[in-house]
Amino acid sequence: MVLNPFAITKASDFTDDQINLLWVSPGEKQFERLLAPSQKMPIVLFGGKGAGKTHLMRYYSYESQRLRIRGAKNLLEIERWLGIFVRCTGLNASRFRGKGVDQEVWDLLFAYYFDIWITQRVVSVILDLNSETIFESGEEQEVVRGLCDLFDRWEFAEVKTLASFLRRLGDIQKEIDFKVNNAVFRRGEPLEITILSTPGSLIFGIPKVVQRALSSFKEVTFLYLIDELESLEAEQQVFVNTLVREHEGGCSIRIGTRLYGLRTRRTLAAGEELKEGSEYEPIQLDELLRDSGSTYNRFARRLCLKRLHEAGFLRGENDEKTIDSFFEPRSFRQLSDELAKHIRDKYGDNPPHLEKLRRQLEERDILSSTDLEVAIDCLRCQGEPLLEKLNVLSFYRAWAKGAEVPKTLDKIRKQCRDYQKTKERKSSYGTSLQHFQDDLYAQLCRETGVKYRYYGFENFLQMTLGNPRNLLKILKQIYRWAEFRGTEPFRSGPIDRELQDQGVRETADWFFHDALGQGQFAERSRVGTERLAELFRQARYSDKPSESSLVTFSTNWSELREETRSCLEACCSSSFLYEVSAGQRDKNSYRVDCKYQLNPILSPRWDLPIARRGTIPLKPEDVDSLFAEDPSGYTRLLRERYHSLNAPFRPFERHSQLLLELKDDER
Amino acid sequence: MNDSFSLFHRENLTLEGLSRLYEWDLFVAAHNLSERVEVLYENVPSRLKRRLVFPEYGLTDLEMTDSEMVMVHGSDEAESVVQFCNHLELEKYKPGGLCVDITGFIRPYLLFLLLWFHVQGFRRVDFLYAEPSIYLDKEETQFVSQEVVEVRAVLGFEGSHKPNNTRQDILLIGAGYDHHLISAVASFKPDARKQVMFGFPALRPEMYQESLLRADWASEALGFSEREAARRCLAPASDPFETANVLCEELQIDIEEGTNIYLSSMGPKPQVLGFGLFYISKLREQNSSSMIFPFASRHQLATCKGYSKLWFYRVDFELLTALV
Repeated sequence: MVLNPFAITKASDFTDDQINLLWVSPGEKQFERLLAPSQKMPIVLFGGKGAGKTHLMRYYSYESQRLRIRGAKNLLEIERWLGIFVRCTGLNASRFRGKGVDQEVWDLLFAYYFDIWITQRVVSVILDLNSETIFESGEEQEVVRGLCDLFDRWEFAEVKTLASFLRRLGDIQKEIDFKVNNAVFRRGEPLEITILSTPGSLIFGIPKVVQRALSSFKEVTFLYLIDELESLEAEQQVFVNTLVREHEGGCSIRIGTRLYGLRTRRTLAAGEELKEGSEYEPIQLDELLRDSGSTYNRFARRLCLKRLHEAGFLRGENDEKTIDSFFEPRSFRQLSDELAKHIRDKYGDNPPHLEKLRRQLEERDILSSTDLEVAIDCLRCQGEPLLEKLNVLSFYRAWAKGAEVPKTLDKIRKQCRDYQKTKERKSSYGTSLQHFQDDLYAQLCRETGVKYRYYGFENFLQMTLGNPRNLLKILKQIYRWAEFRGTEPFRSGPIDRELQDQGVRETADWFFHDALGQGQFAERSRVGTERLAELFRQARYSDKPSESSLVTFSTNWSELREETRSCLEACCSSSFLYEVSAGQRDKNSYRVDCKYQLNPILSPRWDLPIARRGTIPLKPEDVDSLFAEDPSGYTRLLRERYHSLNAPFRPFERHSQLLLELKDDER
Repeated sequence: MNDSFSLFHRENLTLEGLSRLYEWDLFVAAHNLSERVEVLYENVPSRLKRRLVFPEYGLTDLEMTDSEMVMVHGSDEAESVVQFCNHLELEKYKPGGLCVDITGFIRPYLLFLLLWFHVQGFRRVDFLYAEPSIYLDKEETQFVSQEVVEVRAVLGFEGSHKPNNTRQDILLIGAGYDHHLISAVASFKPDARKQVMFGFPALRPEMYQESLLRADWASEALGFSEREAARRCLAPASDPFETANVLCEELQIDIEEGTNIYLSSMGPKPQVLGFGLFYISKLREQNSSSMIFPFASRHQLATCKGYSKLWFYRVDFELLTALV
């Protein structure tokens, strides 16, 4: 059975072997340098779900190092660091609260527990390394003595070896667990746990002890890779922040967390806050990939080729563009020609957009029936429905402004003819066509019953910018559909557009459900995103879209309600929205507003564009209404915008003048 | 084949049969708006009856007019259970005479109540469960109406886990209809091996297919690939004791090896009861096991129509202790 090469989309489902095998870097050691293992300054790696944090951190872990480099001594000599990978979810940290115990006690106990937990991981790693006998005579005893000395109270009389030291730590942990877990049955009673070491003394002490005692570790840095920080509560993060702030020689710290996963910057150092830049270096992983589109594109192509290669679909060296050839291509020209033929065959001279305009003008009784026909003929552009749509759009714009009908029609007709002759893209008509052609094409598809499709590897890259997991999920779904249809994807011929579209749409639906975070504002952020997307859809399919490729809005952050801000943060945390870093200058006040883009992976759910161009400025109260529990404000906003974007806008006055001269001119 | 839990008594009854065969001193149910809960409450033969009103159902004071209603208060499931147990003086029923309708119970409360009975030394408690005819929106039915606030261990069901490579951990999920709950739990233990238990035979024949469909929506979080069939297991949806037997069977090797085990029961209530019994008897002492749950702020008051079958389960805690 041939397995789907894109079946696994999460690094957590990889074996340690696969972590190495499927490792891809966009440039020469570009990712390897990102977490800079020998750098002493701690790094906090922020990233949305699927941005690749865990793969990156696991790549640096001892378990992966061990598979990359044969021989314990080699590992220590070549890499000169040991990656201690710890997932915060493994701590089950929610146990350290409530149960009638003071939070201060819990925080102290959690810090102690965290120390014991990580120390066990470190000792396990050293023991594993020593399976190849790296200790020289007497070194193990010296390490054990040093480790026992890190405790404030001597409870290690029987401990002579590292293995017995590890067992003793296990016993200490179990004792804490037992008392913590049973506190629920002893509500109000003291926990009676003796804290045997100063918080942090073990984590920082072990590297020093080992480096002092073991010659092979002299130059080795202990790299603590602490993933999923977001699973710790703010008070628990205070301890981790303190470790970051006060990290000592011999070790360094890398933290992995979701965007907004760092709930506090407080430390235990007399209320001092953790300082970005001087005490830790932040890296925004998805932003890094997103902002450098070419880096992401190169990385993503390599990632996919690697998967195909490892699964036996490809052999030898392959050009990066090979991946594109697996997907049926279509240029925009080909698509619009196909659509033009479909419209001609189905509707003849009366395509739906002209019929709709005719109906709207008739209902408003703006033109006489003769003039109406002349007007429609002026906008008509035989065989070129896109240009015809642009003409109609230009007419709607003039209608909304209350412009004079004959002049308007004359101008549109002339501009269209000029464009047909010269194909000048820099003319105002040409520019408008370039900006709106995808929206107009989408409108034509909807009006004529043709499915608007998302396909082509380039588009997949654009939709998943900065998030490799979403790309893998698209390919996984496409593969499944293609296989279900009995074809041989990635082996014989390009995958047809319909299957590509199915895979993309399924991924969009999955993402919308899967990305939803947890917490007070999660559900409202989902509802708000849905409403926002509906607002964009309404604009895109309106008579007079105000902006082209609209998936972005701007607003004045300072005037938003506090809970709306929290919802927007939750949206960004779930990657429903991206904050566009440059913001948007308000046309009237020149104030720089914050700007948010709908994640393009969601666009197919609402048949929205994947490219970002226009931005609508929304008043703070409108943004508040998107995220409000009461839907009435949002319904009003939707209604108001509908009326401003659809005929009759502001009605033309009844026109008495016959438009025959335009008709004559046509002859 | 492990069948130690088969010694417990279970019975499929009619309401008439129930009245003919049993009578209790106190009957406790969790109040919601499902017809099956109401029918059972009205017809159960008991000298005293009390309805527990859980805050997650979001009932207002106006809707709580019944003098038999007891509002459940507490900062967590443990405090709440202890509070209503004290209020209802349940300790009086240690030797017997107590019956609990688990139909409308919110799962973590049910689990802690079971543990409380065990810890307090109850001899036996009877449980009833009324099956629905149909879920209101078939496979689209949502039982939890608001977002998951957090995933954490149920109080009293917290273990002492080993800090070894978490890729060796196992997470066994009892699947219900809420795929977002399955996703939330699976994402909480991202690198654990995942296994999903489905109710089969299901409460109604179509419910098995419906729960498979819903679980498929969470397949990405579960990390299922081409080998997914091998990571499923089946246990009867209406049989807590057989569910416990299946859990014994499925987790035997992991228990022996001292693996970090995580259980999460989001399936039908009889299965939740089975998970609880299994944990208390087989895992509580083993120590490196926890029962985790996706806690939500709200639950739907009515999710199904009608009432089809009635199940009776007798939990003999002395027998349970013997199994430990």
